[in-house]
Amino acid sequence: MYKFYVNDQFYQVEGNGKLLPFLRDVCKCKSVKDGCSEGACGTCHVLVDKTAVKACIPTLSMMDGRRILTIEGFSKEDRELYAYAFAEAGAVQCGFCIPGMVICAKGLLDVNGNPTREEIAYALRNNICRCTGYKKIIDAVELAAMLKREGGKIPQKEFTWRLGERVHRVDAREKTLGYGEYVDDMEADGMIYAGAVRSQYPRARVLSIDTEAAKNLAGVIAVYTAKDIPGSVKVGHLVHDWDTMIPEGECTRYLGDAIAIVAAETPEILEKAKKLVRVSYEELPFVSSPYEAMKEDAPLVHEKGNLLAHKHVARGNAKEAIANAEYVYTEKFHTPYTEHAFLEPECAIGMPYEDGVLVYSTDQGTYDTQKECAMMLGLPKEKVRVVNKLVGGGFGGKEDVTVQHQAALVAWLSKKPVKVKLSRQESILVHPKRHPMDMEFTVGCDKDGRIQGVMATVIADTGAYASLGGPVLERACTHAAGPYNYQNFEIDGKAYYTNNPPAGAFRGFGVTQTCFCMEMMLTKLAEMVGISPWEIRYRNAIRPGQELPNGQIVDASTGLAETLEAVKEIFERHPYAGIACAMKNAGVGVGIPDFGRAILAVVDGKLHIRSGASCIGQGLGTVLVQMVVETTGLKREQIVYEGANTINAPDSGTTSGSRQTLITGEAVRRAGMLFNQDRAQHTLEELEGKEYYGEYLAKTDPLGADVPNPVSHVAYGYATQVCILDEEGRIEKIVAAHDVGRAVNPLSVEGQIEGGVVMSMGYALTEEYALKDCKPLSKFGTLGLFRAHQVPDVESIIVEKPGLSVAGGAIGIGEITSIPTAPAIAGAYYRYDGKYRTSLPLADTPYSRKKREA
Amino acid sequence: MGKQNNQRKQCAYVACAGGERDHTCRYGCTGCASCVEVCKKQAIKINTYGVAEVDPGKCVGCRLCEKACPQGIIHMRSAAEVFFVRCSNREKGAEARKACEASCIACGLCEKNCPSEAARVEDGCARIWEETCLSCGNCVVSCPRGVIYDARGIIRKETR
Repeated sequence: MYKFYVNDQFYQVEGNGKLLPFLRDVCKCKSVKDGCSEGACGTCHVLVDKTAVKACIPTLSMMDGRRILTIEGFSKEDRELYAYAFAEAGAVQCGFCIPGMVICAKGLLDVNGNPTREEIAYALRNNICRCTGYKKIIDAVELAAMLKREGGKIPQKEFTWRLGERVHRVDAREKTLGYGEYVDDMEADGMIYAGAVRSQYPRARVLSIDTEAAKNLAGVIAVYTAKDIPGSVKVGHLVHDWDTMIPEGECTRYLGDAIAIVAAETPEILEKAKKLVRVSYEELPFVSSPYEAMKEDAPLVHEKGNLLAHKHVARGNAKEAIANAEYVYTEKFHTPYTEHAFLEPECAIGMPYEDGVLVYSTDQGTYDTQKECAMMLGLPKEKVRVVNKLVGGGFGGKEDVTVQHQAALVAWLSKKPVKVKLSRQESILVHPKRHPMDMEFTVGCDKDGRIQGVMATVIADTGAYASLGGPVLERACTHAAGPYNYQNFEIDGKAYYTNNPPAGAFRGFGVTQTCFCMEMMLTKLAEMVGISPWEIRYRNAIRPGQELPNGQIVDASTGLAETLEAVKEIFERHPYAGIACAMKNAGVGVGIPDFGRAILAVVDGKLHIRSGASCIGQGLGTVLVQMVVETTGLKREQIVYEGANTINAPDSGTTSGSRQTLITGEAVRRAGMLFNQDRAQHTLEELEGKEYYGEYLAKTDPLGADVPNPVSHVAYGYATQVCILDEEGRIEKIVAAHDVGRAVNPLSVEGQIEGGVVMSMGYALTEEYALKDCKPLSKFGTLGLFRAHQVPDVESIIVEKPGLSVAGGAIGIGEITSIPTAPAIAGAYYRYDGKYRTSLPLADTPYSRKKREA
Repeated sequence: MGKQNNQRKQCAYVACAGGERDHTCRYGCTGCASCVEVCKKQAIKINTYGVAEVDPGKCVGCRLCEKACPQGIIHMRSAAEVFFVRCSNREKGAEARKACEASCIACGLCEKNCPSEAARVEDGCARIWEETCLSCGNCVVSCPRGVIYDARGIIRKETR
């Protein structure tokens, strides 16, 4: 018998068990998030007798006689304090780590009312955040401390909510206080739990699946195999090559493959039952690298062959230009797999709904999920409804279905509401990662450092399934040229299937890989020419009206030169400064129909924004509200932002390619213009029930289009980042200057920059997704994610330049923030110790992992 | 990593918890009280198990006890880090088991259950690497011998 208090409520419990599920399921304290259940992420922090403790490790017996506090038990003053401070500081993005941060902040402030930034960072060291880079979270805690010292009075801020204002994000409060619902926080009457039995071998033939013992276990509802799938066994974002479950007689392609799906009354029974499913395999040789995959006698990962995609992009005559160049340099590069490590693991709830199913999901495209689930169930699309709950981070890793279709299947077959949630280790195994790439570049320039021509090759490991491997390779190739003004470019890229975990979309979409190479090449060429790394970039930088290597004439919003000018002084002042530039498209581009769609509906005297575009933490809802205010002149209180869904919101594409601010933003603006026409004659009340549909097609030309100056993308963002090392070779500061066209919410833009930079500091220095024989060895706690007390200052410089005629001139910034960081850091180390590093993560830095020492 | 801050106040701890009966361990605390004598803050006492124990509230991290210990088993930890190993036995499992009921037998369960490779068995005894420790307590919960401690006293071995 254990007795303790949770938020001043007395509990007396008989059985023992872990604290975290007790708090979530019995006490209904949903602010306590479950990000890993293995003690690594920190989302489940609670205060136990005023000390911050991770709730997933201790048991109830350890709580005997103690007082536990979660955000639900905070005083009204504290709730208001933290809700205000986190919103004002712009500390909230996906929000999944935030309640844990608030707990640790309170734990600190209750004993130290005036902490330094270092002390705050140290108090947050056990809480991982993947979105913010920690800076604004530390700002928030500093602000909360200050307000508390001044008596706790919360300032009343008034905003106009027009474009350009540092408004509080629309979801900041619910995320800070933990009452905003992610899928895992939902409950449903009679809900069951399902999960997959996964392959024991990266490549093996499934000879037979024996589900009897599992089915006979009390509390098991059903065990499904591929035979039970009513529609297509194969699904996939673009290429339909991904088996929902591997059928008997077929081959597995990686360790994440589902063989059977078990549904049970409780998560505990589910885990037991999964172990009772007996699968016999014929183990087969596997393919663990693209070099094995390209061999003629290589085992076939897919029957159609191991080459998923081959892209050849050429313009001008690169070979001749290089032959005639004054300086030529050739180098090979390697970049590794990267795990997204979003804080919220994949989770979906499926339930029978009318004549179909309803799926609550956490993904980057509700319509993508609808399409794939419908295909698998053999149902018309409209019978599958998908509703996004809050999304706890995506970064590209939630573009594919992982649990959504499994939830849909079990709900459809069992006619019961069902939750499918990945454990953290499953998440690390299952969802597509950033492509590892091997690249070789040859660049020639004239005596002044002007680029004459670039030739390159790319070999990508796309893992077991296509996912977005084709487009990622394409973007790697098209953007390898860099944001420079020259006309001779040729690149050849190939992506091969292997039996490794699949690779797909990841913030930067292939460009994080090739940009590293091109920028390192320029750093080398600058040295050969005898000019500074800044100068070579400034001389070559693309400027309005010039042609990119792909032939596109860039518009007036092109501000690369301005971003270079913004960092010139700081770069030149520091001996150990490295610099890199980048460009990134906003919008899918290359001739693919790219639609933004939105409905503005007048409901109960308010204007509701409905669009199927997912907010994955970047702040899309806030952007769209600001767009509506700017367009219609309505007040914030008159506008309601609804989340992405397929029921009442039109398809606005995937949250991918830094496209939502521009593309859905423009669709919302257009709907707003239609509303304005009516509004001129009527009051809002008179328009009750009316809907205004806005649509924007971002029209582009396909790759290789036979026009002199094809428009590959409707807009590009540009950036220059500078990394400054101190005398010990540690990063003192990273300065990131970004051309965003128009900053809709500068606070959010800074948050994207800080978070993107810190994410790529990990990519450059510490992160590792280790594989051995196609099996991931990494755990969440060993991925090498930066922690709060380890990050240097990141200074954002926002460059605004008009010229884009849509979406108020705003260009998405989601991805580019992560692109030039690694080469800027590598450039800084080159100046620090003279070592020219061509592989990531960079070797021999103070951040390199220490080998086991005695 | 990063510049060290004043949060990194150091605190001594004795890497031996003693057993409830007389222990025969040649690595552990002998109860000689050299540390007690040198401590100017009365922060160390010989506890009921006959081994030295540091009061973190009183310890100022001066390291006099660390220098005075003839067994070399008093170490420093960051006062804000909560988990530490209270055993210094380096013998193989069976011998370590024989030597003391509260001994590290180098079974490696802490290492296996640590999410961040912070708990490691080195040279026959568990050790926590502060730099990578995520303060979760998995090591404490998984240790079958109860040799890893939570300075706050919250997470502990289930059976104790």
